[in-house]
Amino acid sequence: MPEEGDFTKSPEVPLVEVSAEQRMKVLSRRGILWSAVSIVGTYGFFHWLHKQKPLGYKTDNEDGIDWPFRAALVVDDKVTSTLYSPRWLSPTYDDSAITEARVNGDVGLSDDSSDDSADSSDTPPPTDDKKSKKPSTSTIDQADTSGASSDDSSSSDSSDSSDSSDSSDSSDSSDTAFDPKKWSLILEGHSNPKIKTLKIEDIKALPKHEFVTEFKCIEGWSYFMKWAGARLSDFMAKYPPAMKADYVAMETPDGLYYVSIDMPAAMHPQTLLAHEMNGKPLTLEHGAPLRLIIPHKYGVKNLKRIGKLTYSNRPPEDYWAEQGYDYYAGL
Amino acid sequence: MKRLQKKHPLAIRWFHWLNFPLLAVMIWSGLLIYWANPVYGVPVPAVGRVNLPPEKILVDKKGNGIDLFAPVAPGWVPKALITTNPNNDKDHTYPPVLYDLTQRLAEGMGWHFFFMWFFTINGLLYVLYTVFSGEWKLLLPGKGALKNAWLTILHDMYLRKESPPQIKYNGAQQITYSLIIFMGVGSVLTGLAIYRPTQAGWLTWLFGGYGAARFIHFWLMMGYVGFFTIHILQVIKTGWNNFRGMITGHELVTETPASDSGMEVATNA
Repeated sequence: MPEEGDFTKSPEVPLVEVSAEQRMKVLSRRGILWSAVSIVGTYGFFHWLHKQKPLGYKTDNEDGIDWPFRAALVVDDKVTSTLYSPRWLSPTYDDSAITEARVNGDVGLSDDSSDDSADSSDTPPPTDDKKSKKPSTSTIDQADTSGASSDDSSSSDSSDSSDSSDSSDSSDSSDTAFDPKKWSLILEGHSNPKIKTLKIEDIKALPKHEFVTEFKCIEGWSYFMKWAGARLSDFMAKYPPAMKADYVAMETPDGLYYVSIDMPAAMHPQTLLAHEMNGKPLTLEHGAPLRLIIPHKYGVKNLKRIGKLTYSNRPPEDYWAEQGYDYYAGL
Repeated sequence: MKRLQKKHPLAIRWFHWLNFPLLAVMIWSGLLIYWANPVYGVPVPAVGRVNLPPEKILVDKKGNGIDLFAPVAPGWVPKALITTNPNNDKDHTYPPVLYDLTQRLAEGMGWHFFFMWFFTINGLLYVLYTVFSGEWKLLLPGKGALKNAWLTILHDMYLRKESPPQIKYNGAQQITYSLIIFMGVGSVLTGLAIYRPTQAGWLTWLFGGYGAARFIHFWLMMGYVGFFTIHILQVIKTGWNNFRGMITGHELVTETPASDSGMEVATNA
Protein backbone atom coordinates (compact mmCIF):
# COMPACT_ATOMS: atom_id res chain seq x y z
CA MET A 1 0.00 0.00 0.00
CA PRO A 2 1.69 3.20 -1.14
CA GLU A 3 1.64 6.46 0.74
CA GLU A 4 -1.25 8.74 -0.09
CA GLY A 5 1.13 11.39 -1.36
CA ASP A 6 2.12 9.09 -4.16
CA PHE A 7 -1.12 9.40 -6.00
CA THR A 8 -2.79 12.58 -4.81
CA LYS A 9 -0.88 14.50 -7.41
CA SER A 10 -2.11 12.52 -10.36
CA PRO A 11 -5.15 10.48 -9.54
CA GLU A 12 -5.65 9.75 -13.21
CA VAL A 13 -2.55 7.59 -13.44
CA PRO A 14 -3.62 4.15 -12.35
CA LEU A 15 -1.19 2.65 -9.92
CA VAL A 16 -1.01 -0.97 -9.26
CA GLU A 17 -3.10 -2.14 -6.35
CA VAL A 18 -4.95 1.18 -6.06
CA SER A 19 -8.64 0.67 -6.59
CA ALA A 20 -11.01 3.25 -7.98
CA GLU A 21 -12.64 3.48 -4.58
CA GLN A 22 -9.38 4.42 -2.95
CA ARG A 23 -8.65 7.06 -5.52
CA MET A 24 -12.15 8.42 -5.11
CA LYS A 25 -11.51 8.66 -1.40
CA VAL A 26 -8.53 10.89 -2.01
CA LEU A 27 -10.44 13.01 -4.48
CA SER A 28 -13.29 13.35 -2.02
CA ARG A 29 -10.99 14.32 0.80
CA ARG A 30 -9.46 16.96 -1.40
CA GLY A 31 -12.92 18.10 -2.47
CA ILE A 32 -14.18 18.38 1.07
CA LEU A 33 -11.12 20.40 2.02
CA TRP A 34 -11.67 22.75 -0.89
CA SER A 35 -15.35 23.01 0.00
CA ALA A 36 -14.51 23.91 3.57
CA VAL A 37 -12.02 26.55 2.46
CA SER A 38 -14.56 27.95 -0.03
CA ILE A 39 -17.38 28.08 2.49
CA VAL A 40 -15.22 29.77 5.11
CA GLY A 41 -13.84 32.13 2.47
CA THR A 42 -17.27 33.05 1.17
CA TYR A 43 -18.63 33.57 4.65
CA GLY A 44 -15.56 35.62 5.56
CA PHE A 45 -15.91 37.79 2.49
CA PHE A 46 -19.59 38.50 3.10
CA HIS A 47 -18.93 39.09 6.75
CA TRP A 48 -16.11 41.49 5.91
CA LEU A 49 -18.33 43.33 3.42
CA HIS A 50 -21.08 43.58 5.97
CA LYS A 51 -18.81 44.98 8.66
CA GLN A 52 -17.21 47.75 6.66
CA LYS A 53 -17.47 51.34 7.69
CA PRO A 54 -20.70 52.94 6.52
CA LEU A 55 -20.04 55.72 4.12
CA GLY A 56 -22.49 58.40 3.20
CA TYR A 57 -22.00 60.29 0.03
CA LYS A 58 -18.85 62.13 0.98
CA THR A 59 -18.40 61.47 4.65
CA ASP A 60 -18.83 58.78 7.25
CA ASN A 61 -22.46 58.45 8.02
CA GLU A 62 -24.21 55.77 10.00
CA ASP A 63 -27.05 56.04 7.52
CA GLY A 64 -24.71 55.38 4.63
CA ILE A 65 -23.71 52.09 3.06
CA ASP A 66 -20.49 50.18 3.53
CA TRP A 67 -17.66 51.74 1.58
CA PRO A 68 -17.14 48.84 -0.86
CA PHE A 69 -20.71 49.34 -2.06
CA ARG A 70 -20.21 53.08 -2.30
CA ALA A 71 -17.08 52.43 -4.36
CA ALA A 72 -19.03 50.04 -6.58
CA LEU A 73 -21.77 52.64 -7.12
CA VAL A 74 -19.11 55.12 -8.20
CA VAL A 75 -17.68 52.57 -10.65
CA ASP A 76 -21.18 51.75 -11.93
CA ASP A 77 -21.84 55.41 -12.50
CA LYS A 78 -18.53 55.92 -14.27
CA VAL A 79 -19.27 53.04 -16.60
CA THR A 80 -22.79 54.17 -17.38
CA SER A 81 -21.76 57.84 -17.58
CA THR A 82 -19.40 57.01 -20.42
CA LEU A 83 -22.48 55.86 -22.28
CA TYR A 84 -24.34 58.99 -21.29
CA SER A 85 -25.17 61.41 -24.04
CA PRO A 86 -27.41 64.45 -23.84
CA ARG A 87 -28.75 63.36 -27.20
CA TRP A 88 -30.38 60.40 -25.50
CA LEU A 89 -33.77 61.45 -24.33
CA SER A 90 -36.09 59.75 -21.94
CA PRO A 91 -38.99 58.48 -24.02
CA THR A 92 -41.88 60.92 -24.30
CA TYR A 93 -45.50 59.98 -24.78
CA ASP A 94 -48.89 61.26 -25.87
CA ASP A 95 -51.21 62.93 -23.42
CA SER A 96 -53.25 59.74 -23.41
CA ALA A 97 -50.46 57.99 -21.49
CA ILE A 98 -50.85 60.25 -18.44
CA THR A 99 -51.68 58.33 -15.28
CA GLU A 100 -52.82 59.59 -11.93
CA ALA A 101 -50.06 61.20 -9.93
CA ARG A 102 -48.83 59.90 -6.64
CA VAL A 103 -47.69 62.11 -3.81
CA ASN A 104 -44.73 60.55 -2.14
CA GLY A 105 -42.16 62.51 -0.17
CA ASP A 106 -42.89 65.59 1.91
CA VAL A 107 -39.47 66.34 3.33
CA GLY A 108 -38.91 70.07 3.17
CA LEU A 109 -42.58 70.68 2.46
CA SER A 110 -43.67 70.15 6.03
CA ASP A 111 -45.25 73.50 6.78
CA ASP A 112 -48.12 73.26 4.36
CA SER A 113 -49.20 69.71 5.01
CA SER A 114 -51.84 70.27 7.65
CA ASP A 115 -51.79 66.76 9.06
CA ASP A 116 -48.70 64.66 8.84
CA SER A 117 -50.42 61.41 9.59
CA ALA A 118 -52.47 61.48 6.45
CA ASP A 119 -49.34 62.05 4.49
CA SER A 120 -47.27 59.33 6.04
CA SER A 121 -49.85 56.68 5.29
CA ASP A 122 -49.19 57.55 1.70
CA THR A 123 -45.48 57.43 2.15
CA PRO A 124 -43.82 54.08 1.60
CA PRO A 125 -41.49 52.66 4.23
CA PRO A 126 -38.06 53.83 3.10
CA THR A 127 -39.00 57.47 2.83
CA ASP A 128 -40.84 57.36 6.07
CA ASP A 129 -37.98 55.64 7.76
CA LYS A 130 -35.34 58.02 6.54
CA LYS A 131 -37.41 61.04 7.23
CA SER A 132 -37.87 60.19 10.86
CA LYS A 133 -34.17 59.54 11.21
CA LYS A 134 -33.19 62.62 9.36
CA PRO A 135 -33.26 65.61 11.71
CA SER A 136 -30.19 64.66 13.72
CA THR A 137 -27.98 64.53 10.67
CA SER A 138 -29.60 67.29 8.69
CA THR A 139 -28.88 69.78 11.41
CA ILE A 140 -25.18 69.21 10.99
CA ASP A 141 -25.31 69.23 7.25
CA GLN A 142 -27.39 72.32 7.05
CA ALA A 143 -25.15 74.16 9.45
CA ASP A 144 -22.29 73.35 7.16
CA THR A 145 -23.83 74.40 3.93
CA SER A 146 -25.96 77.35 4.91
CA GLY A 147 -23.70 78.83 7.55
CA ALA A 148 -22.44 81.52 5.22
CA SER A 149 -25.64 82.08 3.35
CA SER A 150 -27.60 85.26 3.65
CA ASP A 151 -30.96 83.90 4.59
CA ASP A 152 -32.26 80.53 5.48
CA SER A 153 -33.15 78.25 8.15
CA SER A 154 -30.04 77.22 10.01
CA SER A 155 -31.97 77.82 13.19
CA SER A 156 -35.16 76.10 12.17
CA ASP A 157 -33.95 72.93 10.57
CA SER A 158 -33.66 71.11 13.85
CA SER A 159 -37.42 70.90 13.83
CA ASP A 160 -38.91 67.63 12.80
CA SER A 161 -41.46 67.84 10.07
CA SER A 162 -44.19 67.06 12.55
CA ASP A 163 -42.93 69.33 15.27
CA SER A 164 -44.66 72.68 15.22
CA SER A 165 -43.27 74.14 18.44
CA ASP A 166 -39.80 74.35 16.98
CA SER A 167 -40.86 76.12 13.88
CA SER A 168 -42.55 78.86 15.89
CA ASP A 169 -39.15 79.66 17.37
CA SER A 170 -37.91 80.37 13.93
CA SER A 171 -37.65 83.96 12.84
CA ASP A 172 -38.53 82.98 9.31
CA SER A 173 -42.26 83.49 8.91
CA SER A 174 -42.46 81.38 5.77
CA ASP A 175 -41.76 78.36 7.92
CA THR A 176 -45.13 78.31 9.59
CA ALA A 177 -47.15 78.67 6.42
CA PHE A 178 -45.57 78.51 3.06
CA ASP A 179 -47.04 81.07 0.70
CA PRO A 180 -46.14 80.47 -2.93
CA LYS A 181 -47.06 84.05 -3.75
CA LYS A 182 -44.29 85.35 -1.51
CA TRP A 183 -41.85 82.80 -2.86
CA SER A 184 -38.68 83.81 -4.56
CA LEU A 185 -35.75 81.80 -5.82
CA ILE A 186 -32.42 82.56 -4.21
CA LEU A 187 -29.48 82.37 -6.58
CA GLU A 188 -25.94 81.65 -5.45
CA GLY A 189 -22.69 81.44 -7.37
CA HIS A 190 -24.27 83.50 -10.06
CA SER A 191 -22.28 85.86 -12.33
CA ASN A 192 -24.37 88.97 -11.75
CA PRO A 193 -24.19 89.88 -8.08
CA LYS A 194 -27.01 92.35 -8.48
CA ILE A 195 -29.51 89.59 -9.04
CA LYS A 196 -29.93 87.76 -5.75
CA THR A 197 -33.44 86.42 -6.13
CA LEU A 198 -35.81 85.64 -8.95
CA LYS A 199 -39.58 85.63 -9.19
CA ILE A 200 -41.70 82.99 -10.82
CA GLU A 201 -42.33 85.42 -13.68
CA ASP A 202 -38.62 85.39 -14.45
CA ILE A 203 -38.79 81.63 -14.91
CA LYS A 204 -41.98 81.81 -16.93
CA ALA A 205 -40.35 84.38 -19.20
CA LEU A 206 -38.00 81.68 -20.44
CA PRO A 207 -39.11 79.48 -23.36
CA LYS A 208 -41.65 76.94 -22.14
CA HIS A 209 -41.16 73.28 -22.88
CA GLU A 210 -43.70 70.56 -22.30
CA PHE A 211 -43.59 66.77 -22.48
CA VAL A 212 -45.03 63.61 -21.00
CA THR A 213 -42.51 61.25 -19.44
CA GLU A 214 -42.52 58.30 -17.15
CA PHE A 215 -41.66 59.58 -13.69
CA LYS A 216 -39.73 56.82 -11.96
CA CYS A 217 -39.29 56.44 -8.24
CA ILE A 218 -36.24 54.74 -6.78
CA GLU A 219 -38.67 52.53 -4.88
CA GLY A 220 -39.77 50.95 -8.12
CA TRP A 221 -43.08 52.56 -9.07
CA SER A 222 -43.57 54.87 -11.99
CA TYR A 223 -46.25 57.16 -13.40
CA PHE A 224 -46.70 58.97 -16.67
CA MET A 225 -46.96 62.70 -16.15
CA LYS A 226 -46.88 65.83 -18.21
CA TRP A 227 -44.51 68.56 -17.17
CA ALA A 228 -44.05 72.10 -18.39
CA GLY A 229 -41.42 74.66 -17.53
CA ALA A 230 -38.17 76.25 -18.52
CA ARG A 231 -35.14 74.26 -19.48
CA LEU A 232 -32.45 74.51 -16.84
CA SER A 233 -29.96 74.99 -19.70
CA ASP A 234 -31.92 78.08 -20.87
CA PHE A 235 -32.02 79.31 -17.31
CA MET A 236 -28.28 78.89 -17.00
CA ALA A 237 -27.69 80.69 -20.28
CA LYS A 238 -29.63 83.66 -18.96
CA TYR A 239 -28.26 83.50 -15.43
CA PRO A 240 -24.80 81.98 -15.90
CA PRO A 241 -22.51 80.85 -13.08
CA ALA A 242 -19.84 83.27 -11.87
CA MET A 243 -17.12 80.75 -12.65
CA LYS A 244 -16.89 77.37 -14.23
CA ALA A 245 -19.35 75.25 -12.30
CA ASP A 246 -19.54 71.47 -12.32
CA TYR A 247 -22.65 71.08 -10.23
CA VAL A 248 -26.02 72.65 -9.67
CA ALA A 249 -27.38 72.32 -6.16
CA MET A 250 -30.96 72.99 -5.11
CA GLU A 251 -32.76 72.96 -1.82
CA THR A 252 -36.17 73.59 -0.37
CA PRO A 253 -36.79 77.00 1.26
CA ASP A 254 -36.42 75.45 4.72
CA GLY A 255 -33.21 73.69 3.67
CA LEU A 256 -34.45 70.29 4.85
CA TYR A 257 -34.30 68.64 1.45
CA TYR A 258 -31.45 69.24 -0.93
CA VAL A 259 -30.12 67.62 -4.06
CA SER A 260 -27.43 68.31 -6.57
CA ILE A 261 -26.80 67.24 -10.11
CA ASP A 262 -23.70 67.37 -12.26
CA MET A 263 -23.39 69.72 -15.20
CA PRO A 264 -24.13 67.24 -18.01
CA ALA A 265 -27.37 66.32 -16.25
CA ALA A 266 -28.22 69.98 -15.69
CA MET A 267 -27.64 70.81 -19.36
CA HIS A 268 -29.79 67.94 -20.60
CA PRO A 269 -32.64 69.27 -22.78
CA GLN A 270 -35.24 67.44 -20.69
CA THR A 271 -34.08 68.93 -17.41
CA LEU A 272 -36.78 71.43 -16.51
CA LEU A 273 -37.54 74.00 -13.88
CA ALA A 274 -41.17 72.97 -13.98
CA HIS A 275 -44.16 75.03 -12.90
CA GLU A 276 -46.94 72.99 -14.47
CA MET A 277 -48.04 69.40 -14.08
CA ASN A 278 -50.58 67.74 -16.36
CA GLY A 279 -51.47 71.09 -17.90
CA LYS A 280 -52.20 72.83 -14.60
CA PRO A 281 -50.08 74.93 -12.28
CA LEU A 282 -48.21 72.79 -9.76
CA THR A 283 -50.01 72.07 -6.53
CA LEU A 284 -48.21 72.55 -3.23
CA GLU A 285 -47.89 68.82 -2.61
CA HIS A 286 -46.27 68.39 -6.02
CA GLY A 287 -43.78 71.16 -5.39
CA ALA A 288 -45.36 74.52 -6.21
CA PRO A 289 -44.33 77.01 -7.30
CA LEU A 290 -41.23 75.60 -8.94
CA ARG A 291 -39.68 72.15 -8.97
CA LEU A 292 -36.95 70.29 -10.72
CA ILE A 293 -37.92 67.73 -13.33
CA ILE A 294 -35.15 65.53 -14.57
CA PRO A 295 -36.58 62.43 -16.23
CA HIS A 296 -33.30 60.55 -16.55
CA LYS A 297 -32.85 60.58 -12.79
CA TYR A 298 -34.92 58.91 -10.09
CA GLY A 299 -37.68 60.92 -8.45
CA VAL A 300 -35.52 61.58 -5.40
CA LYS A 301 -33.50 64.03 -7.51
CA ASN A 302 -36.63 65.83 -8.75
CA LEU A 303 -36.68 68.33 -5.90
CA LYS A 304 -40.02 69.95 -5.08
CA ARG A 305 -40.34 73.61 -4.15
CA ILE A 306 -36.91 74.93 -5.05
CA GLY A 307 -35.94 77.67 -2.62
CA LYS A 308 -32.31 78.12 -3.51
CA LEU A 309 -30.26 77.31 -6.55
CA THR A 310 -26.48 77.23 -6.26
CA TYR A 311 -23.76 76.82 -8.85
CA SER A 312 -20.80 75.00 -7.45
CA ASN A 313 -17.54 73.52 -8.61
CA ARG A 314 -17.35 71.10 -5.72
CA PRO A 315 -19.79 68.23 -5.22
CA PRO A 316 -22.54 69.71 -3.05
CA GLU A 317 -24.53 67.89 -0.40
CA ASP A 318 -27.21 65.49 -1.49
CA TYR A 319 -29.96 64.33 0.84
CA TRP A 320 -30.36 60.72 -0.23
CA ALA A 321 -26.78 60.11 -1.29
CA GLU A 322 -25.78 60.82 2.30
CA GLN A 323 -28.08 58.05 3.38
CA GLY A 324 -26.51 55.38 1.28
CA TYR A 325 -28.20 55.93 -2.04
CA ASP A 326 -26.47 56.38 -5.35
CA TYR A 327 -25.45 60.00 -5.98
CA TYR A 328 -25.82 59.72 -9.73
CA ALA A 329 -29.27 58.09 -9.42
CA GLY A 330 -29.40 57.98 -13.19
CA LEU A 331 -31.85 56.14 -15.34
CA MET B 1 -15.17 -3.76 -10.67
CA LYS B 2 -15.61 -0.03 -10.35
CA ARG B 3 -13.72 2.66 -12.13
CA LEU B 4 -13.38 6.43 -11.94
CA GLN B 5 -15.04 8.38 -14.66
CA LYS B 6 -14.49 12.05 -15.40
CA LYS B 7 -17.70 13.98 -15.30
CA HIS B 8 -17.53 17.74 -14.73
CA PRO B 9 -14.51 19.76 -15.86
CA LEU B 10 -12.90 21.93 -13.22
CA ALA B 11 -14.05 25.16 -14.89
CA ILE B 12 -17.70 24.10 -14.85
CA ARG B 13 -17.46 23.17 -11.18
CA TRP B 14 -16.02 26.60 -10.36
CA PHE B 15 -18.70 28.42 -12.34
CA HIS B 16 -21.39 26.30 -10.71
CA TRP B 17 -20.26 26.81 -7.15
CA LEU B 18 -19.46 30.50 -7.59
CA ASN B 19 -22.89 31.02 -9.04
CA PHE B 20 -24.54 29.63 -5.93
CA PRO B 21 -23.61 32.44 -3.49
CA LEU B 22 -23.75 35.02 -6.27
CA LEU B 23 -27.31 34.15 -7.22
CA ALA B 24 -28.27 33.93 -3.57
CA VAL B 25 -26.96 37.43 -2.92
CA MET B 26 -28.64 38.78 -6.05
CA ILE B 27 -31.98 37.30 -4.98
CA TRP B 28 -31.64 38.52 -1.41
CA SER B 29 -30.60 42.05 -2.34
CA GLY B 30 -33.23 42.06 -5.09
CA LEU B 31 -35.87 41.32 -2.46
CA LEU B 32 -34.63 44.26 -0.38
CA ILE B 33 -35.27 46.41 -3.46
CA TYR B 34 -38.57 44.72 -4.28
CA TRP B 35 -39.83 45.32 -0.78
CA ALA B 36 -39.71 49.10 -1.26
CA ASN B 37 -42.61 48.71 -3.66
CA PRO B 38 -43.87 45.13 -3.43
CA VAL B 39 -46.55 45.31 -6.06
CA TYR B 40 -46.76 41.75 -7.31
CA GLY B 41 -48.62 40.42 -4.33
CA VAL B 42 -46.11 37.66 -3.69
CA PRO B 43 -45.72 36.77 -0.04
CA VAL B 44 -42.12 37.17 0.98
CA PRO B 45 -41.10 36.37 4.53
CA ALA B 46 -40.39 39.48 6.51
CA VAL B 47 -39.80 40.45 10.06
CA GLY B 48 -40.91 43.72 11.45
CA ARG B 49 -43.45 46.29 10.56
CA VAL B 50 -45.60 45.62 7.58
CA ASN B 51 -46.51 48.61 5.53
CA LEU B 52 -48.84 46.96 3.11
CA PRO B 53 -52.52 46.34 2.89
CA PRO B 54 -53.15 42.88 4.38
CA GLU B 55 -54.37 41.39 1.14
CA LYS B 56 -50.94 41.91 -0.37
CA ILE B 57 -48.97 39.67 1.92
CA LEU B 58 -49.21 36.91 4.45
CA VAL B 59 -49.86 38.39 7.84
CA ASP B 60 -50.66 36.97 11.21
CA LYS B 61 -53.52 38.11 13.42
CA LYS B 62 -51.58 41.06 14.77
CA GLY B 63 -50.87 42.26 11.29
CA ASN B 64 -47.22 41.28 11.32
CA GLY B 65 -45.63 39.61 8.36
CA ILE B 66 -45.31 35.88 8.79
CA ASP B 67 -41.68 35.04 9.13
CA LEU B 68 -40.92 31.69 7.57
CA PHE B 69 -37.56 31.61 9.28
CA ALA B 70 -38.95 32.32 12.74
CA PRO B 71 -38.38 28.80 14.12
CA VAL B 72 -34.64 29.04 13.53
CA ALA B 73 -34.19 32.70 14.28
CA PRO B 74 -33.60 32.72 18.05
CA GLY B 75 -30.72 30.27 17.93
CA TRP B 76 -29.36 31.47 14.67
CA VAL B 77 -29.05 35.12 15.51
CA PRO B 78 -27.35 35.85 18.82
CA LYS B 79 -29.70 37.73 21.12
CA ALA B 80 -27.06 40.35 21.75
CA LEU B 81 -27.21 41.39 18.12
CA ILE B 82 -30.90 42.10 18.25
CA THR B 83 -31.56 45.46 19.76
CA THR B 84 -34.00 48.14 18.96
CA ASN B 85 -32.73 50.65 16.50
CA PRO B 86 -32.28 53.79 18.61
CA ASN B 87 -32.90 56.03 15.62
CA ASN B 88 -35.86 54.21 14.33
CA ASP B 89 -39.09 52.56 15.25
CA LYS B 90 -39.31 49.83 17.84
CA ASP B 91 -40.40 47.11 15.44
CA HIS B 92 -37.04 46.72 13.84
CA THR B 93 -33.92 44.93 14.84
CA TYR B 94 -30.72 46.86 14.64
CA PRO B 95 -28.50 46.12 12.91
CA PRO B 96 -30.96 44.49 10.58
CA VAL B 97 -30.77 40.74 10.31
CA LEU B 98 -30.47 38.80 7.10
CA TYR B 99 -34.11 37.92 6.75
CA ASP B 100 -35.54 41.32 7.64
CA LEU B 101 -36.37 42.59 4.20
CA THR B 102 -38.22 45.79 4.96
CA GLN B 103 -36.89 49.34 4.73
CA ARG B 104 -33.50 48.42 3.35
CA LEU B 105 -33.70 49.80 -0.16
CA ALA B 106 -30.36 51.62 -0.16
CA GLU B 107 -28.59 48.57 1.21
CA GLY B 108 -30.28 46.33 -1.33
CA MET B 109 -29.24 48.55 -4.20
CA GLY B 110 -25.70 48.67 -2.86
CA TRP B 111 -25.37 44.88 -2.81
CA HIS B 112 -27.29 44.36 -6.03
CA PHE B 113 -25.21 46.82 -8.06
CA PHE B 114 -22.00 45.47 -6.53
CA PHE B 115 -22.58 41.81 -7.18
CA MET B 116 -24.28 42.25 -10.54
CA TRP B 117 -20.82 42.46 -12.09
CA PHE B 118 -19.64 39.17 -10.63
CA PHE B 119 -22.92 37.42 -11.40
CA THR B 120 -22.78 38.60 -15.02
CA ILE B 121 -19.09 37.88 -15.52
CA ASN B 122 -19.37 34.41 -14.00
CA GLY B 123 -22.35 33.63 -16.22
CA LEU B 124 -20.61 34.98 -19.29
CA LEU B 125 -17.48 32.92 -18.63
CA TYR B 126 -19.62 29.83 -18.14
CA VAL B 127 -21.33 30.33 -21.50
CA LEU B 128 -18.02 31.02 -23.25
CA TYR B 129 -16.43 27.95 -21.71
CA THR B 130 -19.38 25.80 -22.68
CA VAL B 131 -19.18 27.02 -26.25
CA PHE B 132 -15.42 26.68 -26.72
CA SER B 133 -14.90 23.44 -24.81
CA GLY B 134 -17.60 21.65 -26.75
CA GLU B 135 -19.60 21.01 -23.55
CA TRP B 136 -22.54 22.61 -25.31
CA LYS B 137 -22.98 19.41 -27.31
CA LEU B 138 -23.82 17.56 -24.12
CA LEU B 139 -25.93 20.40 -22.82
CA LEU B 140 -28.08 21.58 -25.69
CA PRO B 141 -31.23 19.51 -26.14
CA GLY B 142 -31.04 17.59 -29.39
CA LYS B 143 -33.51 15.44 -31.21
CA GLY B 144 -35.59 13.34 -28.87
CA ALA B 145 -34.72 15.47 -25.85
CA LEU B 146 -38.36 16.23 -25.22
CA LYS B 147 -39.33 12.56 -25.27
CA ASN B 148 -36.32 11.70 -23.15
CA ALA B 149 -37.31 14.46 -20.70
CA TRP B 150 -40.85 13.12 -20.47
CA LEU B 151 -39.62 9.58 -19.81
CA THR B 152 -37.23 10.96 -17.20
CA ILE B 153 -40.04 12.74 -15.44
CA LEU B 154 -42.15 9.56 -15.48
CA HIS B 155 -39.21 7.67 -14.03
CA ASP B 156 -38.57 10.31 -11.37
CA MET B 157 -42.22 10.24 -10.36
CA TYR B 158 -41.94 6.46 -9.95
CA LEU B 159 -44.36 5.91 -12.82
CA ARG B 160 -41.81 4.14 -15.01
CA LYS B 161 -39.21 1.63 -13.97
CA GLU B 162 -36.34 2.20 -16.36
CA SER B 163 -34.69 5.54 -16.72
CA PRO B 164 -34.19 6.54 -20.35
CA PRO B 165 -30.68 6.32 -21.79
CA GLN B 166 -28.48 9.35 -21.49
CA ILE B 167 -24.89 10.42 -22.04
CA LYS B 168 -24.02 13.17 -19.53
CA TYR B 169 -27.41 14.76 -19.06
CA ASN B 170 -30.88 13.41 -19.61
CA GLY B 171 -33.42 15.29 -21.70
CA ALA B 172 -35.01 17.02 -18.73
CA GLN B 173 -31.62 18.26 -17.60
CA GLN B 174 -30.66 19.42 -21.07
CA ILE B 175 -33.83 21.45 -21.35
CA THR B 176 -33.71 23.03 -17.89
CA TYR B 177 -29.95 23.66 -17.86
CA SER B 178 -30.19 25.32 -21.26
CA LEU B 179 -33.26 27.26 -20.24
CA ILE B 180 -31.54 28.55 -17.12
CA ILE B 181 -28.82 30.08 -19.29
CA PHE B 182 -31.41 32.00 -21.27
CA MET B 183 -33.09 33.02 -18.01
CA GLY B 184 -29.73 34.35 -16.84
CA VAL B 185 -29.36 36.33 -20.05
CA GLY B 186 -32.91 37.57 -19.54
CA SER B 187 -32.16 38.65 -15.98
CA VAL B 188 -29.10 40.61 -17.03
CA LEU B 189 -30.92 42.29 -19.92
CA THR B 190 -34.12 43.13 -18.03
CA GLY B 191 -31.92 44.30 -15.18
CA LEU B 192 -30.10 46.64 -17.52
CA ALA B 193 -33.42 47.78 -18.97
CA ILE B 194 -34.65 48.93 -15.56
CA TYR B 195 -31.24 50.10 -14.35
CA ARG B 196 -30.65 52.51 -17.22
CA PRO B 197 -33.91 52.93 -19.14
CA THR B 198 -32.62 56.06 -20.87
CA GLN B 199 -29.27 54.78 -22.12
CA ALA B 200 -30.66 51.31 -22.69
CA GLY B 201 -34.02 52.67 -23.78
CA TRP B 202 -34.29 50.37 -26.80
CA LEU B 203 -33.89 47.41 -24.47
CA THR B 204 -36.60 48.73 -22.17
CA TRP B 205 -38.84 49.18 -25.19
CA LEU B 206 -38.04 45.64 -26.32
CA PHE B 207 -39.28 44.23 -23.02
CA GLY B 208 -42.49 46.20 -23.26
CA GLY B 209 -41.59 49.18 -21.11
CA TYR B 210 -40.16 49.95 -17.71
CA GLY B 211 -42.91 48.33 -15.69
CA ALA B 212 -42.96 45.21 -17.86
CA ALA B 213 -39.19 44.81 -17.66
CA ARG B 214 -39.35 45.03 -13.87
CA PHE B 215 -42.13 42.46 -13.87
CA ILE B 216 -40.11 40.04 -16.02
CA HIS B 217 -37.02 40.65 -13.91
CA PHE B 218 -38.97 39.69 -10.80
CA TRP B 219 -40.54 36.55 -12.23
CA LEU B 220 -37.24 35.31 -13.61
CA MET B 221 -36.04 35.45 -10.02
CA MET B 222 -39.05 33.40 -8.96
CA GLY B 223 -38.06 30.99 -11.73
CA TYR B 224 -34.63 30.54 -10.14
CA VAL B 225 -36.23 29.79 -6.82
CA GLY B 226 -38.36 27.13 -8.51
CA PHE B 227 -35.37 25.71 -10.36
CA PHE B 228 -33.32 25.67 -7.17
CA THR B 229 -36.02 23.78 -5.27
CA ILE B 230 -36.37 21.05 -7.89
CA HIS B 231 -32.61 20.92 -8.42
CA ILE B 232 -31.97 20.29 -4.74
CA LEU B 233 -34.64 17.61 -4.57
CA GLN B 234 -33.18 15.87 -7.62
CA VAL B 235 -29.66 16.02 -6.24
CA ILE B 236 -30.83 14.46 -2.98
CA LYS B 237 -32.74 11.79 -4.85
CA THR B 238 -29.86 10.94 -7.17
CA GLY B 239 -27.47 10.51 -4.32
CA TRP B 240 -23.99 11.00 -3.05
CA ASN B 241 -22.01 9.70 -6.03
CA ASN B 242 -23.60 12.27 -8.29
CA PHE B 243 -23.23 15.12 -5.80
CA ARG B 244 -19.60 14.19 -5.23
CA GLY B 245 -19.15 14.43 -8.98
CA MET B 246 -19.89 18.14 -8.85
CA ILE B 247 -17.15 18.61 -6.25
CA THR B 248 -14.44 16.18 -7.32
CA GLY B 249 -15.29 16.09 -10.99
CA HIS B 250 -15.34 12.30 -10.98
CA GLU B 251 -17.88 9.61 -10.48
CA LEU B 252 -17.52 5.99 -9.53
CA VAL B 253 -19.11 3.83 -12.18
CA THR B 254 -19.53 0.09 -12.29
CA GLU B 255 -17.57 -1.40 -15.11
CA THR B 256 -19.89 -3.12 -17.53
CA PRO B 257 -19.39 -4.18 -21.11
CA ALA B 258 -21.99 -1.62 -22.13
CA SER B 259 -19.98 1.26 -20.76
CA ASP B 260 -17.09 0.41 -23.01
CA SER B 261 -19.19 0.82 -26.09
CA GLY B 262 -19.43 4.56 -25.54
CA MET B 263 -23.00 4.61 -24.30
CA GLU B 264 -22.38 5.33 -20.69
CA VAL B 265 -25.30 5.00 -18.42
CA ALA B 266 -25.16 7.27 -15.45
CA THR B 267 -27.68 8.92 -13.28
CA ASN B 268 -27.49 12.62 -12.89
CA ALA B 269 -28.98 15.64 -11.34
